[in-house]
Amino acid sequence: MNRRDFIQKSLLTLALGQGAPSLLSKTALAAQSRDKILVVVNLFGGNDQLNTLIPYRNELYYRLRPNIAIKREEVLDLGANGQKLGLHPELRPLMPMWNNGELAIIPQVGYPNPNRSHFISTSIWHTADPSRRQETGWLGRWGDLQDDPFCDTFLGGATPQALVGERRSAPAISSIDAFSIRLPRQFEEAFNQEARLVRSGTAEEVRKAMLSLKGALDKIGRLREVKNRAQYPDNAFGRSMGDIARMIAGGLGSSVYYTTLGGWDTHAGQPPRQAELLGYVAQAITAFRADMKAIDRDKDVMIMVFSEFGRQVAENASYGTDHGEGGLMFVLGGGVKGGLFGSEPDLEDLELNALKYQTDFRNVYASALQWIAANPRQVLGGDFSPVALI
Amino acid sequence: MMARALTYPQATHLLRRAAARGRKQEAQQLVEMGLEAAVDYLLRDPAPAPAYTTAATRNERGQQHREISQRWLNHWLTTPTPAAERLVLFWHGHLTSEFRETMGAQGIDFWNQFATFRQLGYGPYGELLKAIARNPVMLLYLNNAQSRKEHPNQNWARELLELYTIGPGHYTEQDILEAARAFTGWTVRLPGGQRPREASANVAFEFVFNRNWHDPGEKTFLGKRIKTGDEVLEILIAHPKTYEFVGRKLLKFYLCPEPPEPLVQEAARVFHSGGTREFLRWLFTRDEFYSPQYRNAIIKSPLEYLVGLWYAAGVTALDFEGRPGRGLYQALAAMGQIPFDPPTVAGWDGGLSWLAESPFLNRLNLLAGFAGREYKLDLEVFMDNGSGALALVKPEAQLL
Repeated sequence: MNRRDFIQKSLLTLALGQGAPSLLSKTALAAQSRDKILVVVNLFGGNDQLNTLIPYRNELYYRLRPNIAIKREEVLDLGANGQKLGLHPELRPLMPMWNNGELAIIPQVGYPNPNRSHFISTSIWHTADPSRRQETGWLGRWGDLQDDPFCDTFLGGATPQALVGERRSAPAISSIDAFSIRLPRQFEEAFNQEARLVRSGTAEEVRKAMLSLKGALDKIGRLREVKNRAQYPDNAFGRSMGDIARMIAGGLGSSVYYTTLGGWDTHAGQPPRQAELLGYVAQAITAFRADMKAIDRDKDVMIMVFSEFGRQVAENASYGTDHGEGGLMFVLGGGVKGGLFGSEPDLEDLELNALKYQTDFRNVYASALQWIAANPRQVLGGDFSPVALI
Repeated sequence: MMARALTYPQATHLLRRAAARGRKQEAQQLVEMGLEAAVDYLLRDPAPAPAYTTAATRNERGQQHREISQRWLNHWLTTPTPAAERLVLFWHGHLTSEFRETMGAQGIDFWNQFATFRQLGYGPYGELLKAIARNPVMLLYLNNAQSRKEHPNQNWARELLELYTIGPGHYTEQDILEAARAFTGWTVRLPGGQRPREASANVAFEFVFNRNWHDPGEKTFLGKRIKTGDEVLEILIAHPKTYEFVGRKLLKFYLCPEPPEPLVQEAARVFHSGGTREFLRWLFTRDEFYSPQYRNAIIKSPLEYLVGLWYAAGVTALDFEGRPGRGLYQALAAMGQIPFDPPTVAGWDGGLSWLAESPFLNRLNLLAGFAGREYKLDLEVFMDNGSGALALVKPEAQLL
């Protein structure tokens, strides 16, 4: 983020701090969308599609993965609507959602000329620009059009590129309960005073960060009394999803919540690791949806799960897989049209040992943007065909 | 030739940048030396860190991590050569290995990796790179230790090209595959064939070349016919892009987040021909380095912030095992910088990302420990215009 971004961000924060009612200051575009919420889950490291959505009737799958394939008898059968595919056993908590038609599975999502670098591919997904000319994030560009510093919120340490716009970036809150200032009064007063003294250069950027922090402390402090109504798994991802639910229940007012779960870079010892992580995802999402149902918001929330790429098809020598191309997305929620949006992977038509991509990720983004009543063309800079998820 | 003068304000800037640690008296000493002698003094050979041994078992990696973190920070706080430790932090964020991801490796293995950064950090980059390519932690972290000719593991080869040498845009997927083949068989073992399950946590891994796992066939790498991993390294070490890519990173770490392009080109040449110490000497003796636009241009990372602050307060030893120390240790994670454990293979993003809402708040909350205590804070080097504990909430306290 450059200096201008920070100035803008803090001006907005200031405006809010002075008591501008967030509802009134929202643009007309955002006002239409205020009831719908998008929750984005970024699985960093490259989740292996083939062991998540398993072509368990394909002999070739078992030949290419003699050590790490998911055993046929353990696979969760998706039935007639799932072609010949099944889910990893750790995803069992999601099966009721599949059966209710609330879980969309989109295999081999990617983009032209795939890049197998974590960082480059992540940046392409975050900017929604495979030509890599955009520096802002897709949701950052959406956020630029809103007048509310809390139109989006990142649950974690430092805001990812997806949420960084030209004018502002999403506040980064790693946890509601830990987010309070614990300084003696004279320090806090001095801090508030310093935040008012304009600087230049990097010092001014720090001052803007101080202002953003002050704004966030005011907003998040009010959420501490809000309780979850469901039991989340006791891990960082579970706690993040729990906090998103509290933010929604407490009326923080964000249309977009974004969080991440790392550890998917399974070059070695993949099976136990991936199983554990898939379990975290399934359990936390299940708890989150129960929470949303308890406050009657389940039909308003779309959850979108993605990873920067899938992995290669044949296993390597260390019970793992190397970086691939097309990867799997999940989209789910009470208002989402579920189903399989794609076909069984062709394990004989590969690109350097990787699944080719089938669906452009920007088509999925277009649906997500429609969900929050944003204009996909304006945000994505082109016309993409939304996947029929709504 | 007359020695060039170094003013007191220049000396505080130099000390802050080079070492992230200093007090008034040290800045005054540098002034008395003059510019060249002061720079040479800061860049002298690193004092070795104390040896590490542990009472923990190989499964008690959390305890080992606390121990090596504490030991390193205490070393940074007390060593006569703190500039070497800021450079260790640079190499650690560049030639990365993540403690939590590197299963099997022990505290001692990470401690040894830091010793390599210290021993070779000032020298030619190629020598450091060759050592790191054989470093057990790296071989385990990027999975080359398990790479065999039947199914080469591409992780190390990919990051070697993308992050450690020439950078993206200068190689193909095929080059990665061929490099991965060349490195098959570069693996690790415990001395005397000890089994990890039974060995003490004080036994370190060592590099071994396993001929049976190696693919001896011919490969084509960056247009050249080669066979071995050493040849891959030689090609990358001779490649000018390596010095541009890493030289730019060094400038970002020591000068400003977006160094001007002509300076990057010159830095690459100095770094290539003279190694890292010559690069730093070149940078620290340039008039430009002291110009107002580069003063306070960098945001302190959490480790630089803490080391600088503790040093300013006269703290010489931390205890992460004790109760108050546990809180500090946890704060490192909350601020976004766990020693020995960067978030990804690309290291720390740095810059304004340190000051996102949650990490920034965690930094500020640490100041409570400085309130109402009779610390003799000497903030002359830590920050500009720092006088008294309350100055620590000024934006300048976050700047290097």
